[in-house]
Amino acid sequence: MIHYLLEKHWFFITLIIQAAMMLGPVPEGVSPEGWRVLIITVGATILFITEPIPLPAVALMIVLGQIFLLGIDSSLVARSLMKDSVLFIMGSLMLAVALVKQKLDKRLALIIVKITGSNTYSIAFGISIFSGILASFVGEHTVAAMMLPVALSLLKFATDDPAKRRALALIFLFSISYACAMAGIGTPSGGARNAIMIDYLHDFFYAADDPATYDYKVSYLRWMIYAYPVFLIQLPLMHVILRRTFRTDIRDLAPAVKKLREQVGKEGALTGRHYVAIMLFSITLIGWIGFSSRYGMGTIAILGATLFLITGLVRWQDINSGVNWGVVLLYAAAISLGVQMRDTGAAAWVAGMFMELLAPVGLNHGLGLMAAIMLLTTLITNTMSNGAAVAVLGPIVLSIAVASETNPLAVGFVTAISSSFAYFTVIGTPASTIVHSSGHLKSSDFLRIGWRMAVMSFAVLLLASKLYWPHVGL
Amino acid sequence: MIKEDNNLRILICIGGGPEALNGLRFAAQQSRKACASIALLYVRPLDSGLKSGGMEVRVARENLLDWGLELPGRAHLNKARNILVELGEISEEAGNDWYHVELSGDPAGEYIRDYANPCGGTISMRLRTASDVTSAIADEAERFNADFIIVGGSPDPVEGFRKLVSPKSLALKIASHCDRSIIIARRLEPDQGHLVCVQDNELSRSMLPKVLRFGQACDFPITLLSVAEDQGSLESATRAVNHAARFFRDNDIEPQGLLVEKGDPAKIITEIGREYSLIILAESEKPWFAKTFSVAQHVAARARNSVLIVK
Repeated sequence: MIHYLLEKHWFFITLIIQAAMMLGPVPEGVSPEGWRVLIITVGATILFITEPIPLPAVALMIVLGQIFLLGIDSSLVARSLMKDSVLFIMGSLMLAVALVKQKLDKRLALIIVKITGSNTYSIAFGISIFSGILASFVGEHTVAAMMLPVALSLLKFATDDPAKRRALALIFLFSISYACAMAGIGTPSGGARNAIMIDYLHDFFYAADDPATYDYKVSYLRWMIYAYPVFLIQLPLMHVILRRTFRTDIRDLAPAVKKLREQVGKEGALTGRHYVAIMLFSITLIGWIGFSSRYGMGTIAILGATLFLITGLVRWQDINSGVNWGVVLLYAAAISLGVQMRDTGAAAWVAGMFMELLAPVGLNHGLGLMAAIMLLTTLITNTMSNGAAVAVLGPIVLSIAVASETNPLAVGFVTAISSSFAYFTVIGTPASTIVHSSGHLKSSDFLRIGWRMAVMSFAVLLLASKLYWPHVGL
Repeated sequence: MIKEDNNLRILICIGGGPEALNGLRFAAQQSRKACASIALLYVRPLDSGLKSGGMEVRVARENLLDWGLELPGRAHLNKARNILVELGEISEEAGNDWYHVELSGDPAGEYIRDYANPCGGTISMRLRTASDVTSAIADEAERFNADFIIVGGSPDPVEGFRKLVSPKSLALKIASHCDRSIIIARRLEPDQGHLVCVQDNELSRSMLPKVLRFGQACDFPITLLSVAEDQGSLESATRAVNHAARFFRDNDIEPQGLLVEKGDPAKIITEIGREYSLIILAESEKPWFAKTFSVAQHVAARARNSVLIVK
């Protein structure tokens, strides 16, 4: 009993907070329905961060809350759960498992060391470039899972000295995780947060009968034009910071590279199976770039996953055990709640309060507002996954954009991009969780380098929003 | 698990740093003297779900295995195994096969490997996954029916402002929540004797047989200490020390010293305890939610050497 209470204490604290909000008076300026949506949102946010109960249970509680507290018809709630962004999350997770299972990472390792040579920092930068470019299209968890063994094999072959190995691990593993995090905002398919923000922009502002709102239907290429340069500028700067923060005595990895080549070389040349996998991935990529505006990114992702299954390149059992379906449900519920935040005026009320806080320090408009949103998103994304952060914050920041007469597109992009600044914690981004699972990194390592990365990313994003985006129509 | 013999049963939590490995050497020493059964436990926190973006980290782990790389939990346990081989507790030729157990959490991450040690005890290595590491250790201690748990503690306790803002260490969490006796290991070298802290109450008296069993297994000199909070309690403190001394003498152990002091118990025990390898004291009588403020927990948090809280 004691262990149960200790394990679940955040759940009970959440219930107490929700009960207090429910029994207290409804604040001025928000409707009773809006207040009830906020009660659900506050509860869900605390449970997202603290995870005292299984996350799918939080999703189900959101669904039940909408039916019982808001009195919404269950069919309408069920309908609001499934959107293109949810299909995309489902499809991209299936694709992630399918791609990791193809064992293309060994070939990738050979290509990297062939290009970079044996210099330690060159290899680390090479790993970052490959990780980044891949993660900008297929999702950071996929790339982190593929690149982790490459880095760990190099560590294993490089030295037996634990201290030297850890020094190398810091450089290689952060090269993977931060490159993946930064790259994930490059294209809409880079991560769930991008798809969620595209859906929010579409749902909140797009109207088929109003050509003035067509800008809010963001295409794949348009997203890339705004976001990809932000990733490309950050990548080399990230490496400068990495080199200055973590140093290693091992400057040349020639023996380790030789052993890696020998190990990977045993795999032989690419087989037909590999070529088919590369072709299917290319088809999916072309589908996203060329046809996602018409059919939706989710549809293309599902198509890609289906092709992998039909061709037998991946088994359903592997997909089924590799994908956490509860997370898909969780995203669906969070997005559905976001829509309620808008419809009941709860998002606008929270946005108004946020603006009141910012006004005295002059951060309620222009670049100051962007910086404030960036800071808020960075704080939230470091305590929960970046997709969940965007799902929770999206309705609020878009309402702030409307209230402050700032371009919602710019605010949406700033939010989505800064959700990748999850540099301080292990749980902030899936790539960090995956590299941390190797056992080589400590939580304090993330803090040590994270603040430097955050300052750099803040500066790059602010400069991009001020100097670059206006020139490309944002 | 039902206790089948009178061997000491020691659960050692590996993964908390080098202190836990020192605890391993200590346990091996007990094993040689009293034929202990030892379980080494590594608990990996669950890292699936939202944290990994919806893709299970097991996909990455399977990929690591495919590359011929060792998973971190097993690497820690294998390091511990190598130490036990060095100490002669496990034969170098012993098998290397893990078997899967289905307990809770991630079924892909729960494995056990068993060995027999030369005296007839067992050594098992256990790899578990859990959403809450403390609860998993408490659960494993029950399953193993451990006489005591060894967990590595920081040799430099957190004090002052840092204590206010830092989360409670895992070792102290386990010490608060587990029902089994626990050693918070810090430079655990059992060559300088043990300091047994007693009080004139039933709880303290009831710990003596357990300390005796531990003392007989260790065969190290013991010193008895009782701290009176004020002048009026001095008589009671002296009575406690004398009672404990009689108890040990009746069981053929002659205490090396009898100490009665006056002042703040936690402070005095910590200060005097510095001279010893291990400070031994009973768990508080306070209810579970107030145990954090007990003398035992204060000593466990402040001491720079190892502390055994007898429960």
